[in-house]
Amino acid sequence: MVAYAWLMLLFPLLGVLVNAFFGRRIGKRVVSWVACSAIGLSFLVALGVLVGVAGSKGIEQPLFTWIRAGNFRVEFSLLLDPLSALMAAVVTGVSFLIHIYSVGYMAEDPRYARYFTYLNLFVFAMLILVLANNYLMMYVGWEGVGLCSYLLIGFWFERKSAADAGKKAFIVNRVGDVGFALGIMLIFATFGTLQFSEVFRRAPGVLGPAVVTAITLLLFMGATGKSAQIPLYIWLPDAMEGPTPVSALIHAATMVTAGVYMVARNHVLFDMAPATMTVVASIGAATAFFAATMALVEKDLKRILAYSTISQLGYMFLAVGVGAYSAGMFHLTTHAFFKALLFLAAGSVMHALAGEINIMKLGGLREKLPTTYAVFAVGAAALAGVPLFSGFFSKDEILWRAFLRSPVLWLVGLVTALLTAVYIFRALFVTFWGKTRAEKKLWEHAHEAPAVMSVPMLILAVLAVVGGYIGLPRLSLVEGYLEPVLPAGHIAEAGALEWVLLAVSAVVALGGIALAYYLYVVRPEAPARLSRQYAPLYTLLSRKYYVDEFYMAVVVEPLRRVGRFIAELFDPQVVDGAVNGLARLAGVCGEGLGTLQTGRVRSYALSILVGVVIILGYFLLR
Amino acid sequence: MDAIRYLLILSAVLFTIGAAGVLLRRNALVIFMCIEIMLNAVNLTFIALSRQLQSLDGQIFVFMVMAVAAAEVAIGLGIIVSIFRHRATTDVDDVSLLKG
Amino acid sequence: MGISHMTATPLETVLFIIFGAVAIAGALSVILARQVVYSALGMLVNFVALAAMYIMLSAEFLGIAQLIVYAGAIVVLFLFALMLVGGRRPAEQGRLSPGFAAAGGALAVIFLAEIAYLVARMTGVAGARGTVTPEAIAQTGHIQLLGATLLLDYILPFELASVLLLVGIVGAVALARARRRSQEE
Repeated sequence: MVAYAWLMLLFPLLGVLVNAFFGRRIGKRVVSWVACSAIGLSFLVALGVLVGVAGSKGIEQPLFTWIRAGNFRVEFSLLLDPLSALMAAVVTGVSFLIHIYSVGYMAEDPRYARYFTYLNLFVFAMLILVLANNYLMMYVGWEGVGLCSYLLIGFWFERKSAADAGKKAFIVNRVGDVGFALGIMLIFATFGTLQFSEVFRRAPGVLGPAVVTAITLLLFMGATGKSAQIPLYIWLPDAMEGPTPVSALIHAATMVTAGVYMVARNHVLFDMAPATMTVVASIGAATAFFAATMALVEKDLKRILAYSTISQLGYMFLAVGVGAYSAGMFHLTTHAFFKALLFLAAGSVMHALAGEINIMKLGGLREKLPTTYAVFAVGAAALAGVPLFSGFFSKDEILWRAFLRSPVLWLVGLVTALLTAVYIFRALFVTFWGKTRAEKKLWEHAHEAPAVMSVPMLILAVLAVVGGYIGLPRLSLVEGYLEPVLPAGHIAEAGALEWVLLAVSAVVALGGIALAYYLYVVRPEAPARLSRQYAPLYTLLSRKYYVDEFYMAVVVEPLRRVGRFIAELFDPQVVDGAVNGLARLAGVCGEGLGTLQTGRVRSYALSILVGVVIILGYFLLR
Repeated sequence: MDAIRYLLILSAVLFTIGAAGVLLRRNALVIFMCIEIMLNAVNLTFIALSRQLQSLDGQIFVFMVMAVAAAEVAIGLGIIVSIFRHRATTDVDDVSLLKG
Repeated sequence: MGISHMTATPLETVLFIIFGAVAIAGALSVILARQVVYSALGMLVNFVALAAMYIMLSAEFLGIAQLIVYAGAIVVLFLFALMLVGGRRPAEQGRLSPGFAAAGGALAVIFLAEIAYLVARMTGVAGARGTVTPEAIAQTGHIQLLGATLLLDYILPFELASVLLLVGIVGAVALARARRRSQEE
């Protein structure tokens, strides 16, 4: 199966082409069949590859030479190793379920075919990113998923907020991408090649500490953009303007994890730069904490999940930052399951209540949407790290490794775990318990989603529970599987300490849930009182630390002013002046020369003969 | 006088007559005929030099010129007739839409 | 290399001069005739005289082709076109602007003088001699030799020429159809 890995790319590409060119003609049924089967087949290939490359150090499969200019050569090759295979399987698997869910969710949308075209294109670009064997190809995938993200956030572009959110995501990502591109250029300048295997092979001999720190920091800058870390996380909450399955797929499960994957892929370089590692771990921990605090006061269900995503991505960066790459990849995998699940459940709520997403206008949905409630609860438990759910194992793995590096990081992670349990169960209780606050008409029409939507949710719910068991401590299948690519490093033999920490985080998770239960079910008036009591803190959190306003004032406004100056003075006077002047000059010349052009064939013939006579004369006089 | 010189001069005279016709006549059909005469003058040069150099390459050229001339006449006359249908004239000076 | 490589018997010389004179006369009548149909006839005379010269230069096949393609097909095409645009009228009305006529005539004369001078000054014909002597042609036959050259050494240009003719046919048909459509409207 490994030899046919290129099929993984081919199927989504075919899906894109068919739906882009014939989508409007072949009808919704065919469109959904094409799109879903493309990803389904791709998923099967990915599973085959996942099994096929187990234990191997990685196979490079050249498809064709992409660029050849002088001694600069870039192959279009697939890198198939446990890391990329795991990532590809997660991407295609989750995508497949979300594609099916979308069939139900988007059924009424007039731009149905376009939606699935974008979705397939996204999977194609993501797979290029994942399977790339060199930086340039990875960059293409990186930009490709960025483009798809932009297109899908702004999918309902009639709404100004959606169009703005798409722009914001694109521009903020651009900032990070500049860093990524500079990092790639620096790598090329240093090594003269962009192929991963070559770079990693030569890195220990060639790189000085300064250069490797610069390279890794630049690469990490790209990761902060794509994976929504401080300071470039601001686009992700707004990205919730897109259709909910898109939020589930791109802005929770797959694309935003690209940064984590990229760091893991480049672990050879990152391992050589301890300063960068400290930065990565600190930013990861800080992001995890701050995003969690913002999720505490958010009222929009999808935005709660968005902040939660940022927070969980922070965990993953914390993991890779302390050198626990496989723990990061493990959490990436479980997070893909339970976060996609939570989003799909949120989508199901919106579907039932005509798009209502403010949790303060929901409530009591337990009785109307029992399935959705059940799967949301499973997802929330996994996210909160309730023992025996998947998130518990992966999060604990990260905390344990963080503790080995620095107890401070561990403490931040632990507090974040508490906040996580509180905010997600707050969302659960407020949305599904108590008496409804929804409008009467909406409430009466509320209905459970069709099977095409609930079955993917149920599958994801199962995965969210059992997904953790592939990485049980001391049994760690994930770590063993990734071992050939990501050496686990020597972990201090701690034995009892690890179990103690495990118990502590379990207690913290359950404590967080209990706290949420107390605050939002037992004493529903308590939160309001608290927010009054600590009004400044509450305002600070609900305004998201004023980061958006800060960027607006420091970055956007000055740029706008420069833009206005150029648009109103420089452009019309200088640029247009030069252009108009040239045009006038050309016009004058043309009028002069135009008199030569009589339109009469014979005068042209005469000038030809003049030319002939002159040329002959030249031969005569020579 | 050598035969080759004679033939080259003859071809030059024919070519000049054709060129003068193109310049001095205004009837599109006559101009076209003059162009044919010029082509023939060149053909004569090719054949004469082919004989001189004892090689058939020049004659291949003549062959190609004939093919081109046949195609050109078919199209050219079609255009002239077409213009005549529209504007009732075959005078090239009346057709000066390309005037700058 | 001898400039007088070509040898001619007195009879051939006389025939050359006669045919040359006829060709010039034909060409002159093309540009001097008042009516287009006489121009066409002058062109016919010119073509036939040249065909005779080709044959005398041992390019028999081209001579015959000249008769068929030029003197036959092309002249007939011209006569058809003439019929369609009405050939009985004088070729053109009004006078040429004297300045243009003088310039054109002068240029033509200068051109001829230049070529004549170049030819007179010429000392020989450069280039390697081939093996296709008039004797070889007489022995093997012009058509065989030309055909072999055409289809062995020049097959690609030959094919391209056939494509060109095809394009010519299509173009002519397109022009004819466009005319019919514009008449229907």
